[in-house]
Amino acid sequence: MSEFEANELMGQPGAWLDGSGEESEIVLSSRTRIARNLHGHRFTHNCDSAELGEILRLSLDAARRTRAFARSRYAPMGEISSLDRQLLVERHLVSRDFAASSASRGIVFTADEGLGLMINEEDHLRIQGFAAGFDLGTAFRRANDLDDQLAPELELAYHERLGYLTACPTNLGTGMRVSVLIHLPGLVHSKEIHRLLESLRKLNHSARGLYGEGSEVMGNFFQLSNSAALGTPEDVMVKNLREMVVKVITYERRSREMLFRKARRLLEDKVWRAYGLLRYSRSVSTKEALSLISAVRMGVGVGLVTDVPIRTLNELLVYIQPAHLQKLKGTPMDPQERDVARADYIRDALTRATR
Amino acid sequence: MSVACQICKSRPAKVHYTEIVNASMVAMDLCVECAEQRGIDVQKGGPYGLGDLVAGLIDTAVDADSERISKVRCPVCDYQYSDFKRIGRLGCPACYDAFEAQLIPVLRHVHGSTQHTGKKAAARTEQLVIRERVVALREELSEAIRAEDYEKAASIRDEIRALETRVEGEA
Repeated sequence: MSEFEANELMGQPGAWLDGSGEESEIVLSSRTRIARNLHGHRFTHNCDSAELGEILRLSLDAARRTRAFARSRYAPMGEISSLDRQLLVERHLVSRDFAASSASRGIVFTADEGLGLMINEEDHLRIQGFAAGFDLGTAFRRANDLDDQLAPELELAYHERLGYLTACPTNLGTGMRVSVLIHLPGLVHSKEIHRLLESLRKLNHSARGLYGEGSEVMGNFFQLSNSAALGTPEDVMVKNLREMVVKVITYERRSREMLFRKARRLLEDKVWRAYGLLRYSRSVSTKEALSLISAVRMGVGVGLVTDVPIRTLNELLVYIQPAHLQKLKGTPMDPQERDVARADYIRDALTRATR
Repeated sequence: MSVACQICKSRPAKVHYTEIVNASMVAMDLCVECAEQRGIDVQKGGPYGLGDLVAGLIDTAVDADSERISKVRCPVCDYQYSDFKRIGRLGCPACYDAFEAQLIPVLRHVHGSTQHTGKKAAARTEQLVIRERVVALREELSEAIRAEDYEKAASIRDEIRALETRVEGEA
């Protein structure tokens, strides 16, 4: 395990956004999160700083002894700059709340960013496994293997009937949440998304924005996940979400085909207008950029745009964000300056990709 | 530079939250006054946090006797049941036993179940016990070597080896 280096991260986006994997035009990535707590300690929010420090020490020692983290990076949240903390949020390695309250918190992750461990988040341990595209099996295996390797090193809070004990009862049981980051412009434009989200809720699944709980839906990117963690074994949870996502992909395809048939002119105009703006604009906000990228991504999906790889569009999602832009420039920038730098970055990336 | 409240359009927006309108998410920037008029508890930071949703379920699930119940305390961490209702999180793992009767209806509502059926920690707890025993034995071993009691040292060493093969066999 070595110290986290922000510049090392900047070189490439996490491997799970490389545009490979099944159904990568619609499903960007798959994720499994597992929550664990140490027996005999209060939950994070109820701890004083001495107890937080003790939990961090025990967990970090355990993480060091795992095979999964043989070659990994560690970032002590309290000791790195707020810009670097934001960088980790933008890469989905840590949550926003985790970055905001940084003392006695730390993140361990593998160099390819396929596996992460947040220490002292809402629960003492939050394991995250990622995979590119629609591959819930790999994401689950990564997270579950780390859990298996950590378990002999730590005494975990476990209850014979209730399973793994978590700070919030919504995560009780398996402590697990499986999710996909999915792009649904067809369902949004055909106005079917509301009905879909409503049915998902009834089937005990939930949908959130790009950055998880409480975050806004931007660029038609959604996180779909299971809501219940108690009473269903892990492999069945994975299977249930997989079946659900297969259906959602079918609906999304059908909506795109319908739009293409019934409103081809409108769709083409939307896609090419967005492409033109990304290629030539000189200033663009994150929100506008996400909506333009969304339109071009759909253009790739329906075969209108053929010269932009999905990988490039995925990379844009990461690098157009404030901390990434400032790291690339090597200087702090105000929002107006960032809008200019963002437009520059997008133009360069598209030129490189289509050369 | 501060953003003006979206409702009164005059006072500066201090409350930022995301509301679900017709199943799509809308971000709102409101001043404290307008937020309170819309029934948002500004202290808690909005009515849509998961903790608050859980707390909402508790209110409907357990109503009778609520005065007495809210004063129940966890014997391990001294967390009060009313703290859980307010924050939506428990104080420590032992709170689940302390507040079990109150939590059961909540669990049924959230998960549709009150019984874990997945991965079990029990087998691995045994491994942990073995590891801790090994750590203790190593200390006894150095003690025995220091005391030049080689016979005892040899028997401790054999015991450590036996335990270590057991742990590795299971891993």
